[in-house]
Amino acid sequence: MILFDRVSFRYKSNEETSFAIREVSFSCRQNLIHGFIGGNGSGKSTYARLIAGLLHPEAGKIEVCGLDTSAEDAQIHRKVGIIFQNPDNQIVGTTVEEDIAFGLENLAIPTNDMPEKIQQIAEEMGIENLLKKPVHHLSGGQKQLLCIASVLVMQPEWLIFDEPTSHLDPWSRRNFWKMLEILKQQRQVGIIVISQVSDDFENFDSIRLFADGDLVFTGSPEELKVANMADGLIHLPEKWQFEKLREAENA
Amino acid sequence: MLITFSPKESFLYSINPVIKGLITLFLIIAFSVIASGPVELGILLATVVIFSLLGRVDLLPIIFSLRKIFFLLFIVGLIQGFSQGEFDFLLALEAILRIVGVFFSAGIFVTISSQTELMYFWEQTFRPLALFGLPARELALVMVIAVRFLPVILSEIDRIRIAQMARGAKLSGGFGLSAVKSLLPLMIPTLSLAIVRAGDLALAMEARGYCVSRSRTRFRHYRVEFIDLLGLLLCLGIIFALMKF
Repeated sequence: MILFDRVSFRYKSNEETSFAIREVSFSCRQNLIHGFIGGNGSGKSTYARLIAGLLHPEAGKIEVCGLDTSAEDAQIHRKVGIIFQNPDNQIVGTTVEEDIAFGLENLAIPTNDMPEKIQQIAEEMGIENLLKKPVHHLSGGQKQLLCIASVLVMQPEWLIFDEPTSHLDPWSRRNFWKMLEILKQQRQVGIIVISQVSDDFENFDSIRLFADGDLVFTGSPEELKVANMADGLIHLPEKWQFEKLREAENA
Repeated sequence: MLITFSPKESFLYSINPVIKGLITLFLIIAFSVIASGPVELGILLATVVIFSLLGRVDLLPIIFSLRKIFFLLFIVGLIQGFSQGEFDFLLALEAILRIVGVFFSAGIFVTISSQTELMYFWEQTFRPLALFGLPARELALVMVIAVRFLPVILSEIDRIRIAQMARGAKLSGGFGLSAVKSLLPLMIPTLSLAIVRAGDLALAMEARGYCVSRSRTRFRHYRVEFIDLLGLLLCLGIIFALMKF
């Protein structure tokens, strides 16, 4: 469970900007795919970084699996895995296996246990034949799989994806959502996907819409579909818009 | 074609990283100060090339990269050639062979050492600094990440170059200050992108549990074995034989 209790936050270096999180409270349950949506500068990524313990709230409290993110950094990094938008900016190792090992080294896992864990996660992600390959030889999709494997090997209870589908073609996007469903079911993890791709909305179990740092909507995709307030803040999927038009026509 | 680590199965690749570094260091010293005359330098360079080929090292990226220092080689050759009045071809060749030898030694070291090995090597090299309270492992990681991001930054430069040229920027031509000025449209976005990347990487590393003050384990352990010592002795033997020659 993730719990935001009257959380306030402001970037210290950007005091002149209007962006601020003011006393926001909400919770996210595990074993669901949560969508954090909103336009540019709405605060989606800031919320993700607060959850991952990479930023700390000015006031209020954030709890992840019962741990205070401000007080227990090291534990939070173990519980929450975050996969950023650009795989190139988060791969540390030169080869696939070295990058997967990086997280294990940080967790002080004994050296003898590492190869088995690396092999296991590589098989799960279908990259077992790439283990010795230099990372700069990987395709974009393979790099994304490596980033996920590198985070999953640390056995987090929550996974956060920062705009994972914005660079993917429709086919890769479909495969990505299939993979998330499998992860949710097999690993029993909570998943947060930050997205502004309207086609992603239907894949979420629950949606939170942010605008200028505020949480303006919480509900299911079905509820977002009928809530007209979302129209001005984010572009709804074409399919939903078409269905609305047909309903209006029929009415 | 970049000089980067490409894993292979051979005796050169399996040598202990510190020994690899030491051999490279001895070779650089040999090329720089010990060997004298084009014949000695030529023999040393040929020996390095033969051992590299036996060790399945792909020398093509190193040879290809020599093009990038061609201008430097040309200038050094000219200066050395004319150092004693009339142009002396042998002196010019000697100077060029010294630089090529150092370039090959360093290039081969990078080609046969993975990031973890490089990190281990730098860490051991920086170890004495820990006595003065400096973070040896962190300094090593900085060096390694710089090597890891080189191909990414270079491809980024290429992308920016094409984008700037499409917007009418002239990125070549001119000499001296005007040549440097013409590169400004390339340098500023590259630098700002590198800073953004560094910030993102630091965040990603922190999210994966990396902390300067926390103790970490190692994916690979490196022991000095008989073959490593043999390699080191062989290298020293060749250098001493050249000195006698």
